[in-house]
Amino acid sequence: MIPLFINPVQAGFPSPATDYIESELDFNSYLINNKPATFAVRAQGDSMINIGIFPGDILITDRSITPRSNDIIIASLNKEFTVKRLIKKSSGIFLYPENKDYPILEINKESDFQIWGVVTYTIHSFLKG
Amino acid sequence: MPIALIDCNSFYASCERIFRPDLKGRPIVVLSNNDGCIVAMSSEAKGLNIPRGTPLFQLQNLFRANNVEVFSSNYTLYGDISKRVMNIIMEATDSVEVYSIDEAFADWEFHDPIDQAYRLRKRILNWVGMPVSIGIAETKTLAKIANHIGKKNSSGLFEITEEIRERVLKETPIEDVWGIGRQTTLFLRSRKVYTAYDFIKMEDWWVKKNLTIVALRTKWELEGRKAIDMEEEVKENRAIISSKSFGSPIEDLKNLIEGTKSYVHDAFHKMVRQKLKAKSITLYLTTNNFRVNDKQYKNAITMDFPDYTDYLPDFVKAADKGIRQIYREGFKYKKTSVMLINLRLDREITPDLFTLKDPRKKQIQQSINSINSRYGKGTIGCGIKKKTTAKWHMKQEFLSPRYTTAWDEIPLVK
Repeated sequence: MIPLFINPVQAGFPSPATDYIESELDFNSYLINNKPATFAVRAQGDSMINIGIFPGDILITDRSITPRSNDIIIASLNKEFTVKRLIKKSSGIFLYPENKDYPILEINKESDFQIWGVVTYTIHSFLKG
Repeated sequence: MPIALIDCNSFYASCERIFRPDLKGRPIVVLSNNDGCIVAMSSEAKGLNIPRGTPLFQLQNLFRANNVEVFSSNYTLYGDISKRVMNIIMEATDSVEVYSIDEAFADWEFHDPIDQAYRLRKRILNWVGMPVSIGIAETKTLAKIANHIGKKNSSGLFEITEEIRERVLKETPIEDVWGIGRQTTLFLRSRKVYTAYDFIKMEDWWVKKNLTIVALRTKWELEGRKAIDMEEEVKENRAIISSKSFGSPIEDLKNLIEGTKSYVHDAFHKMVRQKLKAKSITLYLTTNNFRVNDKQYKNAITMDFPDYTDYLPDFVKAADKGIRQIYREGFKYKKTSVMLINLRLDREITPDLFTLKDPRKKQIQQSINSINSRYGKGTIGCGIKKKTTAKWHMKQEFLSPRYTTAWDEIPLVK
Protein backbone atom coordinates (compact mmCIF):
# COMPACT_ATOMS: atom_id res chain seq x y z
CA MET A 1 0.00 0.00 0.00
CA ILE A 2 1.27 3.47 -0.86
CA PRO A 3 0.73 6.25 1.64
CA LEU A 4 -0.66 9.39 0.09
CA PHE A 5 0.86 11.81 2.55
CA ILE A 6 4.02 11.94 4.51
CA ASN A 7 3.36 13.98 7.62
CA PRO A 8 4.75 17.45 6.77
CA VAL A 9 5.50 18.15 10.44
CA GLN A 10 8.58 15.98 10.02
CA ALA A 11 9.91 18.59 7.60
CA GLY A 12 9.93 21.03 10.49
CA PHE A 13 6.94 23.24 9.84
CA PRO A 14 3.26 23.02 10.74
CA SER A 15 0.70 22.52 8.02
CA PRO A 16 -3.04 22.86 7.80
CA ALA A 17 -3.04 19.40 6.24
CA THR A 18 -1.50 17.78 9.32
CA ASP A 19 -4.74 16.58 10.76
CA TYR A 20 -6.16 15.52 7.45
CA ILE A 21 -4.26 12.46 6.32
CA GLU A 22 -5.74 10.64 3.38
CA SER A 23 -6.10 6.92 3.67
CA GLU A 24 -3.64 4.85 1.74
CA LEU A 25 -4.36 3.71 -1.79
CA ASP A 26 -5.90 0.31 -1.40
CA PHE A 27 -5.40 -1.58 -4.63
CA ASN A 28 -7.44 -4.53 -3.44
CA SER A 29 -10.58 -2.52 -2.85
CA TYR A 30 -10.11 -0.65 -6.12
CA LEU A 31 -9.74 -3.74 -8.24
CA ILE A 32 -12.04 -6.09 -6.37
CA ASN A 33 -15.67 -5.19 -6.02
CA ASN A 34 -17.02 -8.53 -4.83
CA LYS A 35 -14.32 -10.60 -3.19
CA PRO A 36 -15.91 -14.06 -3.02
CA ALA A 37 -16.82 -13.86 -6.71
CA THR A 38 -13.54 -12.44 -8.01
CA PHE A 39 -10.83 -14.55 -9.58
CA ALA A 40 -7.62 -13.91 -11.49
CA VAL A 41 -6.82 -15.66 -14.76
CA ARG A 42 -3.89 -15.28 -17.11
CA ALA A 43 -4.18 -14.49 -20.81
CA GLN A 44 -2.39 -16.61 -23.38
CA GLY A 45 -2.22 -15.86 -27.06
CA ASP A 46 -3.03 -12.62 -28.83
CA SER A 47 -6.69 -12.93 -29.80
CA MET A 48 -7.57 -9.79 -27.84
CA ILE A 49 -4.53 -7.69 -28.54
CA ASN A 50 -6.41 -4.76 -30.09
CA ILE A 51 -7.97 -3.80 -26.78
CA GLY A 52 -4.74 -4.25 -24.90
CA ILE A 53 -4.87 -7.80 -23.61
CA PHE A 54 -1.42 -9.26 -24.16
CA PRO A 55 -0.08 -12.73 -23.47
CA GLY A 56 0.81 -13.04 -19.80
CA ASP A 57 -1.55 -10.31 -18.63
CA ILE A 58 -3.66 -10.97 -15.56
CA LEU A 59 -7.40 -10.59 -16.07
CA ILE A 60 -9.47 -9.79 -13.02
CA THR A 61 -12.73 -11.64 -13.46
CA ASP A 62 -15.97 -11.15 -11.57
CA ARG A 63 -18.45 -14.00 -11.67
CA SER A 64 -21.23 -12.01 -10.06
CA ILE A 65 -21.65 -9.47 -12.85
CA THR A 66 -24.51 -10.22 -15.24
CA PRO A 67 -22.84 -10.25 -18.65
CA ARG A 68 -24.12 -7.74 -21.16
CA SER A 69 -23.38 -7.32 -24.80
CA ASN A 70 -19.99 -5.72 -25.34
CA ASP A 71 -18.52 -7.04 -22.09
CA ILE A 72 -15.21 -8.86 -22.17
CA ILE A 73 -15.93 -12.29 -20.78
CA ILE A 74 -14.19 -15.47 -19.78
CA ALA A 75 -16.13 -18.43 -21.12
CA SER A 76 -15.69 -22.13 -21.43
CA LEU A 77 -16.05 -23.14 -25.05
CA ASN A 78 -15.57 -26.73 -26.15
CA LYS A 79 -14.07 -27.59 -22.77
CA GLU A 80 -11.49 -24.80 -22.80
CA PHE A 81 -11.38 -21.31 -21.34
CA THR A 82 -11.37 -18.40 -23.70
CA VAL A 83 -11.44 -14.61 -23.38
CA LYS A 84 -13.53 -12.76 -25.93
CA ARG A 85 -15.96 -9.90 -26.33
CA LEU A 86 -19.55 -10.96 -25.89
CA ILE A 87 -21.90 -9.64 -28.55
CA LYS A 88 -25.63 -10.25 -28.33
CA LYS A 89 -27.58 -9.52 -31.48
CA SER A 90 -31.11 -10.30 -32.48
CA SER A 91 -29.62 -12.95 -34.74
CA GLY A 92 -27.82 -14.65 -31.88
CA ILE A 93 -24.84 -14.66 -29.55
CA PHE A 94 -21.31 -14.18 -30.80
CA LEU A 95 -17.80 -14.15 -29.41
CA TYR A 96 -15.67 -11.48 -31.04
CA PRO A 97 -11.89 -11.54 -30.96
CA GLU A 98 -9.91 -8.31 -30.94
CA ASN A 99 -7.45 -9.32 -33.61
CA LYS A 100 -8.25 -9.59 -37.31
CA ASP A 101 -6.35 -12.89 -37.50
CA TYR A 102 -8.98 -14.63 -35.38
CA PRO A 103 -12.52 -15.68 -36.36
CA ILE A 104 -15.81 -14.48 -34.93
CA LEU A 105 -17.43 -17.41 -33.16
CA GLU A 106 -21.16 -18.00 -33.26
CA ILE A 107 -22.83 -19.62 -30.26
CA ASN A 108 -25.93 -21.72 -30.78
CA LYS A 109 -27.95 -24.29 -28.83
CA GLU A 110 -25.56 -27.11 -29.69
CA SER A 111 -22.49 -25.17 -28.62
CA ASP A 112 -20.63 -26.44 -25.60
CA PHE A 113 -20.59 -22.95 -24.10
CA GLN A 114 -20.91 -21.37 -20.67
CA ILE A 115 -20.03 -17.90 -19.45
CA TRP A 116 -17.56 -18.12 -16.58
CA GLY A 117 -17.17 -14.46 -15.60
CA VAL A 118 -16.83 -10.85 -16.74
CA VAL A 119 -13.38 -9.27 -17.05
CA THR A 120 -13.21 -6.02 -15.10
CA TYR A 121 -9.53 -5.03 -15.22
CA THR A 122 -6.32 -6.28 -16.75
CA ILE A 123 -2.90 -6.03 -15.19
CA HIS A 124 -0.17 -5.57 -17.75
CA SER A 125 3.47 -5.32 -16.77
CA PHE A 126 5.85 -3.12 -18.76
CA LEU A 127 8.90 -4.41 -16.99
CA LYS A 128 9.01 -8.07 -17.81
CA GLY A 129 9.35 -7.59 -21.55
CA MET B 1 -36.43 -19.62 14.56
CA PRO B 2 -35.73 -22.02 11.70
CA ILE B 3 -32.23 -23.18 10.88
CA ALA B 4 -30.75 -23.90 7.46
CA LEU B 5 -27.97 -26.35 6.77
CA ILE B 6 -26.12 -25.36 3.64
CA ASP B 7 -23.75 -27.99 2.36
CA CYS B 8 -21.70 -28.30 -0.80
CA ASN B 9 -22.29 -31.21 -3.15
CA SER B 10 -19.21 -33.45 -3.54
CA PHE B 11 -17.12 -30.55 -2.31
CA TYR B 12 -13.57 -31.58 -3.25
CA ALA B 13 -14.60 -32.91 -6.65
CA SER B 14 -16.68 -29.81 -7.29
CA CYS B 15 -13.73 -27.55 -6.43
CA GLU B 16 -11.63 -29.34 -9.03
CA ARG B 17 -14.36 -28.81 -11.61
CA ILE B 18 -14.57 -25.02 -11.27
CA PHE B 19 -11.38 -24.47 -13.26
CA ARG B 20 -11.65 -27.49 -15.52
CA PRO B 21 -14.54 -27.14 -17.98
CA ASP B 22 -13.38 -30.39 -19.55
CA LEU B 23 -14.35 -32.31 -16.41
CA LYS B 24 -18.07 -31.65 -16.63
CA GLY B 25 -19.91 -34.96 -16.41
CA ARG B 26 -16.73 -36.98 -15.90
CA PRO B 27 -16.23 -39.09 -12.79
CA ILE B 28 -13.75 -37.52 -10.38
CA VAL B 29 -11.98 -39.18 -7.47
CA VAL B 30 -9.92 -37.31 -4.86
CA LEU B 31 -7.20 -39.05 -2.87
CA SER B 32 -5.82 -38.24 0.51
CA ASN B 33 -2.17 -37.35 -0.01
CA ASN B 34 -0.95 -39.24 2.98
CA ASP B 35 -2.30 -42.71 2.76
CA GLY B 36 -3.70 -43.03 -0.71
CA CYS B 37 -7.30 -43.55 0.30
CA ILE B 38 -10.17 -42.16 -1.71
CA VAL B 39 -11.52 -39.27 0.32
CA ALA B 40 -14.04 -37.83 -2.10
CA MET B 41 -15.93 -38.73 -5.24
CA SER B 42 -18.14 -36.92 -7.68
CA SER B 43 -21.64 -38.33 -8.13
CA GLU B 44 -20.61 -40.06 -11.37
CA ALA B 45 -17.74 -41.77 -9.55
CA LYS B 46 -20.08 -42.85 -6.75
CA GLY B 47 -22.16 -44.45 -9.45
CA LEU B 48 -19.25 -46.77 -10.26
CA ASN B 49 -19.82 -48.53 -6.94
CA ILE B 50 -16.17 -48.89 -6.03
CA PRO B 51 -16.01 -51.31 -3.08
CA ARG B 52 -14.69 -49.62 0.04
CA GLY B 53 -11.06 -50.36 0.93
CA THR B 54 -10.10 -51.53 -2.54
CA PRO B 55 -6.37 -50.94 -2.88
CA LEU B 56 -5.76 -48.10 -5.29
CA PHE B 57 -3.42 -49.97 -7.60
CA GLN B 58 -6.29 -52.35 -8.33
CA LEU B 59 -8.45 -49.46 -9.42
CA GLN B 60 -6.20 -48.21 -12.21
CA ASN B 61 -7.97 -50.25 -14.88
CA LEU B 62 -11.40 -49.33 -13.63
CA PHE B 63 -10.44 -45.67 -13.70
CA ARG B 64 -9.04 -45.86 -17.19
CA ALA B 65 -12.05 -47.72 -18.49
CA ASN B 66 -14.44 -45.15 -17.05
CA ASN B 67 -12.46 -42.03 -17.88
CA VAL B 68 -12.06 -41.20 -14.20
CA GLU B 69 -9.93 -38.20 -13.33
CA VAL B 70 -7.87 -38.68 -10.17
CA PHE B 71 -6.68 -35.86 -7.91
CA SER B 72 -4.59 -35.56 -4.78
CA SER B 73 -6.21 -33.41 -2.12
CA ASN B 74 -5.52 -29.76 -2.83
CA TYR B 75 -6.31 -28.30 0.58
CA THR B 76 -5.05 -24.86 -0.37
CA LEU B 77 -7.63 -24.69 -3.12
CA TYR B 78 -10.41 -26.25 -1.08
CA GLY B 79 -9.77 -23.90 1.81
CA ASP B 80 -9.97 -20.85 -0.43
CA ILE B 81 -13.16 -21.97 -2.16
CA SER B 82 -14.68 -22.76 1.22
CA LYS B 83 -13.86 -19.26 2.45
CA ARG B 84 -15.68 -17.77 -0.53
CA VAL B 85 -18.76 -19.92 -0.03
CA MET B 86 -18.92 -19.11 3.67
CA ASN B 87 -18.52 -15.38 3.01
CA ILE B 88 -21.45 -15.45 0.62
CA ILE B 89 -23.57 -17.25 3.20
CA MET B 90 -22.58 -14.71 5.86
CA GLU B 91 -23.70 -11.86 3.64
CA ALA B 92 -27.07 -13.52 3.15
CA THR B 93 -27.98 -14.11 6.77
CA ASP B 94 -26.93 -13.52 10.37
CA SER B 95 -25.62 -16.07 12.76
CA VAL B 96 -23.71 -18.46 10.57
CA GLU B 97 -21.88 -21.36 12.15
CA VAL B 98 -19.24 -22.82 9.88
CA TYR B 99 -19.48 -26.47 10.80
CA SER B 100 -16.86 -27.90 8.47
CA ILE B 101 -15.00 -27.02 5.31
CA ASP B 102 -18.14 -27.48 3.25
CA GLU B 103 -21.07 -27.12 5.65
CA ALA B 104 -22.61 -24.27 7.54
CA PHE B 105 -25.64 -23.83 9.76
CA ALA B 106 -27.40 -20.50 9.58
CA ASP B 107 -30.39 -18.82 11.17
CA TRP B 108 -33.10 -18.82 8.53
CA GLU B 109 -35.84 -16.49 9.71
CA PHE B 110 -37.51 -15.34 6.49
CA HIS B 111 -41.16 -15.10 5.50
CA ASP B 112 -40.25 -16.99 2.32
CA PRO B 113 -37.58 -19.47 3.46
CA ILE B 114 -37.58 -21.66 0.36
CA ASP B 115 -37.32 -18.70 -1.97
CA GLN B 116 -34.40 -17.30 0.00
CA ALA B 117 -32.74 -20.70 -0.07
CA TYR B 118 -33.26 -20.87 -3.82
CA ARG B 119 -31.61 -17.46 -4.23
CA LEU B 120 -28.64 -18.36 -2.05
CA ARG B 121 -28.12 -21.62 -3.88
CA LYS B 122 -28.19 -19.83 -7.22
CA ARG B 123 -25.85 -17.13 -5.99
CA ILE B 124 -23.22 -19.59 -4.71
CA LEU B 125 -23.41 -21.49 -7.99
CA ASN B 126 -23.02 -18.30 -10.06
CA TRP B 127 -20.42 -16.56 -7.98
CA VAL B 128 -18.17 -19.52 -7.15
CA GLY B 129 -19.32 -22.38 -9.36
CA MET B 130 -20.15 -24.51 -6.32
CA PRO B 131 -23.41 -26.49 -6.22
CA VAL B 132 -24.95 -26.67 -2.76
CA SER B 133 -27.95 -28.27 -1.10
CA ILE B 134 -29.99 -26.49 1.54
CA GLY B 135 -32.18 -28.07 4.22
CA ILE B 136 -34.41 -25.97 6.46
CA ALA B 137 -36.03 -27.01 9.74
CA GLU B 138 -36.52 -26.00 13.38
CA THR B 139 -33.41 -27.77 14.68
CA LYS B 140 -29.96 -28.70 13.43
CA THR B 141 -30.68 -32.40 13.49
CA LEU B 142 -33.84 -31.92 11.44
CA ALA B 143 -32.03 -29.53 9.10
CA LYS B 144 -29.49 -32.29 8.44
CA ILE B 145 -32.31 -34.62 7.43
CA ALA B 146 -33.89 -31.89 5.31
CA ASN B 147 -30.55 -31.31 3.60
CA HIS B 148 -30.21 -35.01 2.87
CA ILE B 149 -33.63 -34.98 1.19
CA GLY B 150 -32.87 -31.73 -0.63
CA LYS B 151 -29.72 -33.18 -2.09
CA LYS B 152 -31.80 -35.75 -3.93
CA ASN B 153 -34.29 -33.14 -5.17
CA SER B 154 -33.95 -31.45 -8.52
CA SER B 155 -34.12 -28.09 -6.71
CA GLY B 156 -31.45 -29.01 -4.16
CA LEU B 157 -33.69 -27.64 -1.39
CA PHE B 158 -36.06 -29.01 1.22
CA GLU B 159 -37.92 -27.66 4.23
CA ILE B 160 -39.26 -29.79 7.08
CA THR B 161 -42.26 -27.91 8.44
CA GLU B 162 -44.11 -29.02 11.55
CA GLU B 163 -46.93 -30.29 9.36
CA ILE B 164 -44.77 -32.83 7.57
CA ARG B 165 -42.21 -33.54 10.29
CA GLU B 166 -43.66 -36.83 11.50
CA ARG B 167 -44.14 -38.13 7.98
CA VAL B 168 -40.52 -37.33 7.15
CA LEU B 169 -39.31 -39.05 10.33
CA LYS B 170 -41.26 -42.16 9.42
CA GLU B 171 -39.30 -42.27 6.17
CA THR B 172 -35.91 -41.63 7.78
CA PRO B 173 -33.95 -44.74 8.81
CA ILE B 174 -32.51 -44.37 12.31
CA GLU B 175 -28.93 -44.80 11.08
CA ASP B 176 -29.32 -41.67 8.93
CA VAL B 177 -29.92 -39.50 11.97
CA TRP B 178 -27.05 -37.19 12.90
CA GLY B 179 -25.71 -38.21 16.29
CA ILE B 180 -26.83 -41.82 16.14
CA GLY B 181 -23.74 -43.96 15.70
CA ARG B 182 -23.37 -47.48 14.44
CA GLN B 183 -23.54 -49.20 17.80
CA THR B 184 -26.53 -47.15 18.90
CA THR B 185 -28.25 -48.11 15.66
CA LEU B 186 -27.63 -51.81 16.31
CA PHE B 187 -29.01 -51.49 19.81
CA LEU B 188 -32.09 -49.59 18.67
CA ARG B 189 -32.83 -52.01 15.88
CA SER B 190 -32.64 -54.86 18.39
CA ARG B 191 -35.42 -53.01 20.24
CA LYS B 192 -37.44 -52.68 17.03
CA VAL B 193 -36.59 -49.01 16.55
CA TYR B 194 -35.98 -48.72 12.80
CA THR B 195 -36.90 -45.18 11.88
CA ALA B 196 -36.44 -41.73 13.38
CA TYR B 197 -40.19 -41.80 14.10
CA ASP B 198 -39.91 -45.06 16.06
CA PHE B 199 -37.14 -43.39 18.05
CA ILE B 200 -39.13 -40.34 19.09
CA LYS B 201 -42.00 -42.61 20.15
CA MET B 202 -39.79 -43.99 22.95
CA GLU B 203 -39.97 -42.30 26.33
CA ASP B 204 -37.28 -39.83 27.39
CA TRP B 205 -36.44 -41.86 30.50
CA TRP B 206 -35.94 -44.96 28.40
CA VAL B 207 -33.51 -43.20 26.07
CA LYS B 208 -31.67 -41.67 29.01
CA LYS B 209 -31.47 -45.04 30.78
CA ASN B 210 -30.34 -47.15 27.80
CA LEU B 211 -28.35 -44.69 25.74
CA THR B 212 -26.57 -41.40 26.35
CA ILE B 213 -27.42 -37.77 26.93
CA VAL B 214 -26.33 -37.14 23.35
CA ALA B 215 -28.99 -39.56 22.12
CA LEU B 216 -31.58 -37.83 24.28
CA ARG B 217 -30.68 -34.43 22.87
CA THR B 218 -30.96 -35.93 19.41
CA LYS B 219 -34.44 -37.14 20.27
CA TRP B 220 -35.46 -33.66 21.39
CA GLU B 221 -34.06 -32.18 18.23
CA LEU B 222 -36.07 -34.63 16.14
CA GLU B 223 -39.12 -33.50 18.06
CA GLY B 224 -38.47 -29.93 16.96
CA ARG B 225 -36.89 -28.78 20.20
CA LYS B 226 -33.42 -27.17 19.95
CA ALA B 227 -31.00 -29.06 22.19
CA ILE B 228 -27.61 -29.04 20.56
CA ASP B 229 -26.30 -25.48 20.66
CA MET B 230 -25.67 -25.53 24.38
CA GLU B 231 -23.41 -28.55 24.11
CA GLU B 232 -21.42 -27.34 21.10
CA GLU B 233 -20.65 -23.99 22.69
CA VAL B 234 -19.17 -25.44 25.85
CA LYS B 235 -16.84 -27.73 23.96
CA GLU B 236 -15.53 -25.03 21.61
CA ASN B 237 -13.89 -23.08 24.42
CA ARG B 238 -11.58 -25.82 25.56
CA ALA B 239 -7.99 -26.34 24.58
CA ILE B 240 -5.82 -29.40 24.98
CA ILE B 241 -2.29 -28.68 26.06
CA SER B 242 0.82 -30.76 26.18
CA SER B 243 3.80 -28.91 27.48
CA LYS B 244 6.99 -30.02 29.20
CA SER B 245 10.43 -28.71 29.87
CA PHE B 246 13.30 -30.59 28.37
CA GLY B 247 15.70 -32.42 30.71
CA SER B 248 18.54 -30.34 29.35
CA PRO B 249 18.13 -27.41 26.97
CA ILE B 250 17.98 -28.18 23.26
CA GLU B 251 19.69 -26.05 20.62
CA ASP B 252 19.39 -28.27 17.59
CA LEU B 253 16.30 -27.96 15.37
CA LYS B 254 16.03 -31.65 14.63
CA ASN B 255 15.99 -32.60 18.30
CA LEU B 256 13.58 -29.81 19.05
CA ILE B 257 11.16 -31.14 16.46
CA GLU B 258 11.49 -34.70 17.73
CA GLY B 259 10.76 -33.58 21.26
CA THR B 260 7.78 -31.55 20.18
CA LYS B 261 6.38 -34.45 18.18
CA SER B 262 6.00 -36.52 21.31
CA TYR B 263 4.00 -33.70 22.89
CA VAL B 264 1.86 -33.66 19.77
CA HIS B 265 1.19 -37.35 20.26
CA ASP B 266 0.21 -36.73 23.87
CA ALA B 267 -2.15 -33.91 23.08
CA PHE B 268 -3.56 -35.85 20.15
CA HIS B 269 -4.38 -38.87 22.25
CA LYS B 270 -6.01 -36.73 24.92
CA MET B 271 -8.13 -35.18 22.21
CA VAL B 272 -9.13 -38.40 20.55
CA ARG B 273 -10.02 -40.01 23.86
CA GLN B 274 -12.67 -37.32 24.25
CA LYS B 275 -13.99 -37.92 20.75
CA LEU B 276 -12.92 -34.46 19.71
CA LYS B 277 -11.48 -33.03 16.55
CA ALA B 278 -9.38 -29.91 16.23
CA LYS B 279 -9.14 -27.21 13.63
CA SER B 280 -5.97 -25.52 14.84
CA ILE B 281 -2.70 -26.30 16.58
CA THR B 282 -0.53 -23.76 18.37
CA LEU B 283 3.19 -24.38 18.83
CA TYR B 284 5.17 -22.47 21.39
CA LEU B 285 8.85 -22.48 22.26
CA THR B 286 10.93 -20.65 24.78
CA THR B 287 14.36 -20.36 26.30
CA ASN B 288 14.89 -20.42 30.05
CA ASN B 289 13.87 -17.08 31.58
CA PHE B 290 15.78 -17.75 34.73
CA ARG B 291 19.16 -18.13 33.10
CA VAL B 292 19.74 -14.40 32.77
CA ASN B 293 23.07 -14.84 31.05
CA ASP B 294 21.54 -16.77 28.19
CA LYS B 295 20.07 -15.05 25.14
CA GLN B 296 16.30 -15.09 25.46
CA TYR B 297 13.79 -15.92 22.77
CA LYS B 298 10.22 -17.09 22.76
CA ASN B 299 7.70 -17.37 20.00
CA ALA B 300 4.49 -19.08 19.05
CA ILE B 301 2.62 -19.89 15.88
CA THR B 302 -0.86 -21.19 15.17
CA MET B 303 -1.50 -23.44 12.21
CA ASP B 304 -5.04 -23.86 10.96
CA PHE B 305 -6.35 -26.92 9.19
CA PRO B 306 -8.87 -26.48 6.40
CA ASP B 307 -11.28 -28.73 8.28
CA TYR B 308 -11.68 -30.29 11.73
CA THR B 309 -9.44 -33.33 11.89
CA ASP B 310 -8.48 -36.24 14.09
CA TYR B 311 -5.84 -37.63 11.78
CA LEU B 312 -2.53 -37.79 13.61
CA PRO B 313 -0.22 -37.13 10.63
CA ASP B 314 -1.97 -33.78 10.05
CA PHE B 315 -0.90 -32.61 13.51
CA VAL B 316 2.62 -33.98 13.25
CA LYS B 317 3.15 -32.33 9.89
CA ALA B 318 1.80 -29.01 11.13
CA ALA B 319 4.01 -29.15 14.22
CA ASP B 320 7.08 -29.80 12.07
CA LYS B 321 6.24 -26.91 9.80
CA GLY B 322 5.36 -24.59 12.66
CA ILE B 323 8.49 -25.25 14.72
CA ARG B 324 10.66 -24.76 11.66
CA GLN B 325 9.09 -21.39 11.11
CA ILE B 326 9.61 -20.01 14.59
CA TYR B 327 12.93 -21.69 15.37
CA ARG B 328 15.97 -19.44 15.52
CA GLU B 329 19.52 -20.72 15.66
CA GLY B 330 21.77 -19.96 18.58
CA PHE B 331 19.27 -20.26 21.40
CA LYS B 332 19.03 -22.87 24.15
CA TYR B 333 15.40 -23.89 24.23
CA LYS B 334 14.00 -24.99 27.55
CA LYS B 335 10.50 -25.95 26.60
CA THR B 336 8.05 -26.35 23.78
CA SER B 337 4.27 -26.54 24.10
CA VAL B 338 1.59 -27.92 21.89
CA MET B 339 -1.95 -26.64 22.17
CA LEU B 340 -4.89 -28.03 20.21
CA ILE B 341 -7.61 -25.43 19.86
CA ASN B 342 -10.88 -24.88 18.04
CA LEU B 343 -12.10 -28.23 19.24
CA ARG B 344 -15.36 -29.79 18.41
CA LEU B 345 -17.15 -32.90 19.50
CA ASP B 346 -17.59 -35.11 16.51
CA ARG B 347 -21.26 -35.89 16.39
CA GLU B 348 -20.60 -38.58 13.86
CA ILE B 349 -18.77 -40.51 16.55
CA THR B 350 -20.96 -39.95 19.58
CA PRO B 351 -19.60 -41.14 22.94
CA ASP B 352 -21.34 -44.46 22.70
CA LEU B 353 -21.54 -46.77 25.67
CA PHE B 354 -21.26 -49.59 23.21
CA THR B 355 -18.18 -48.60 21.19
CA LEU B 356 -16.21 -48.07 24.40
CA LYS B 357 -16.65 -51.75 25.15
CA ASP B 358 -14.38 -52.77 22.27
CA PRO B 359 -10.89 -51.73 23.36
CA ARG B 360 -9.23 -53.72 20.59
CA LYS B 361 -10.45 -51.28 17.94
CA LYS B 362 -8.93 -48.37 19.76
CA GLN B 363 -5.67 -50.29 20.28
CA ILE B 364 -5.42 -50.96 16.59
CA GLN B 365 -5.89 -47.31 15.70
CA GLN B 366 -3.29 -46.32 18.25
CA SER B 367 -0.81 -48.86 16.91
CA ILE B 368 -1.41 -47.71 13.38
CA ASN B 369 -0.87 -44.12 14.40
CA SER B 370 2.40 -44.91 16.21
CA ILE B 371 3.81 -47.09 13.47
CA ASN B 372 2.92 -44.57 10.83
CA SER B 373 4.48 -41.69 12.66
CA ARG B 374 7.65 -43.68 13.33
CA TYR B 375 8.21 -45.26 9.94
CA GLY B 376 6.61 -42.70 7.74
CA LYS B 377 3.08 -41.79 6.82
CA GLY B 378 1.25 -44.37 4.84
CA THR B 379 3.25 -47.31 6.21
CA ILE B 380 -0.08 -48.63 7.30
CA GLY B 381 -2.95 -47.06 5.48
CA CYS B 382 -6.32 -47.92 4.12
CA GLY B 383 -5.38 -51.17 2.44
CA ILE B 384 -2.55 -49.91 0.23
CA LYS B 385 1.09 -50.94 0.32
CA LYS B 386 3.25 -47.88 -0.05
CA LYS B 387 5.68 -49.18 -2.65
CA THR B 388 3.24 -50.87 -4.97
CA THR B 389 3.93 -49.20 -8.26
CA ALA B 390 6.04 -46.12 -8.85
CA LYS B 391 3.06 -44.29 -10.30
CA TRP B 392 0.90 -44.63 -7.23
CA HIS B 393 3.74 -43.97 -4.85
CA MET B 394 4.11 -40.32 -5.92
CA LYS B 395 0.81 -38.85 -4.83
CA GLN B 396 1.90 -35.34 -5.79
CA GLU B 397 1.42 -36.37 -9.41
CA PHE B 398 -2.29 -35.77 -9.07
CA LEU B 399 -2.22 -32.39 -7.38
CA SER B 400 -4.09 -29.65 -9.23
CA PRO B 401 -2.78 -26.09 -9.38
CA ARG B 402 -3.52 -23.62 -6.59
CA TYR B 403 -5.76 -21.71 -8.97
CA THR B 404 -6.81 -19.03 -6.53
CA THR B 405 -3.81 -18.51 -4.27
CA ALA B 406 -0.64 -18.73 -6.33
CA TRP B 407 0.10 -16.29 -9.16
CA ASP B 408 2.07 -18.89 -11.06
CA GLU B 409 -0.83 -21.28 -10.96
CA ILE B 410 -3.87 -19.20 -11.93
CA PRO B 411 -6.01 -20.57 -14.77
CA LEU B 412 -4.95 -19.86 -18.35
CA VAL B 413 -7.37 -18.50 -20.94
CA LYS B 414 -6.98 -18.14 -24.68
